[in-house]
Amino acid sequence: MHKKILSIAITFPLILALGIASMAYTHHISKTYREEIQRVEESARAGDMEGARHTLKRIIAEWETREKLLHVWVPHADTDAVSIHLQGLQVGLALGDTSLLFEHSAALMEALDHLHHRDDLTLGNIL
Amino acid sequence: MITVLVRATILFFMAVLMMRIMGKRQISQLQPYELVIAIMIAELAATPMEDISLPLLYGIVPMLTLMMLHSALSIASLKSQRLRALISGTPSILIKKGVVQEDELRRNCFDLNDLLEEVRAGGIENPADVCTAILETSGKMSVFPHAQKRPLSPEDMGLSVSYEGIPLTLVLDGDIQHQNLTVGGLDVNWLNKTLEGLGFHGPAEVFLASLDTQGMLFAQGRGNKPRMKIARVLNAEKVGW
Repeated sequence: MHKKILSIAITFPLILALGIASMAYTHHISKTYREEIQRVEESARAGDMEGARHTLKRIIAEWETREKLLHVWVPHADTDAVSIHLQGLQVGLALGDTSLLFEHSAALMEALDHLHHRDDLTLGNIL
Repeated sequence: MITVLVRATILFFMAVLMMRIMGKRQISQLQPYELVIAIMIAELAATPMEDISLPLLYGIVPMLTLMMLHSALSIASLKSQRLRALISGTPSILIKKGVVQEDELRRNCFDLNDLLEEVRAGGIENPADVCTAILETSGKMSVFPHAQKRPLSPEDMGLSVSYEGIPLTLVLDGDIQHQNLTVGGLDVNWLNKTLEGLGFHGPAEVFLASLDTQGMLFAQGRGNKPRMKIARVLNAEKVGW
């Protein structure tokens, strides 16, 4: 009986804390990167390709370190989608191909949303 | 591939730990909710084991959740009879005073062949000898014969028998079972001397040695044609376990 009560007393707060922490962190990452990508897009629209390239380079370097941590609780397919579109964005900027750039930018926004979609406590996810 | 090995190892031990925490019951003795949890744990461990793109936590967190639910249901079942009946069901009396209860059979989707099979499994050949048969919540059948048909016991004969407890295993495959020696209030020196007295040169030569509550030591040596020795080594009054 004591063992069972102890197992609940340890497991329940642990899962709850883990769930809340992972949800908060994924939301934070998603929001931060969406803002950063918007900045890259604005620079590109304003014709500041060098500035956009510079910002994107920093974003990719940061993402590569954060991705490893996200792999602990986010399915790899979701983080891989972000990496692929970040690279696509980089190619678009390097070629100066704005249609390719905006295509990947839109897809990247969607991929960033997917990072936290599964974790969101919504009726849709539960059902 | 090494990742799969590590993940499989972690998930295996996690699943074993979950089952250990759940208790020592065998599959056939599981309550319905325990069986559901056991099947789900196996499935939950298998999915992230083979798909390395899924985080390990996708297997571990649901397993922990199931363990938690199991603990909660077990505690609730202990605390409330009504809840226990709701979760685990109630035993059904299929044979009462020797009469097969047709309604109960139908309610439990049990046909007569199933019933007779369980009666035979209970060690009774003739269904007419059965007084009571209860279908337990675990799905196991308990069968009791009429008082006239049950095996004779010492009490029926008016005999008094001495205490008969569990024999202590003192040597297992050459290894001394120190914990059992302590339980019996014995020590290694006593064991060595006793075994020497029986012709063994130490516990390493002994495959199995057990001491019963009558003070009789049974020792079997190693090999295809082992030495078998049975001797009284303690007075029954000295047995304290």
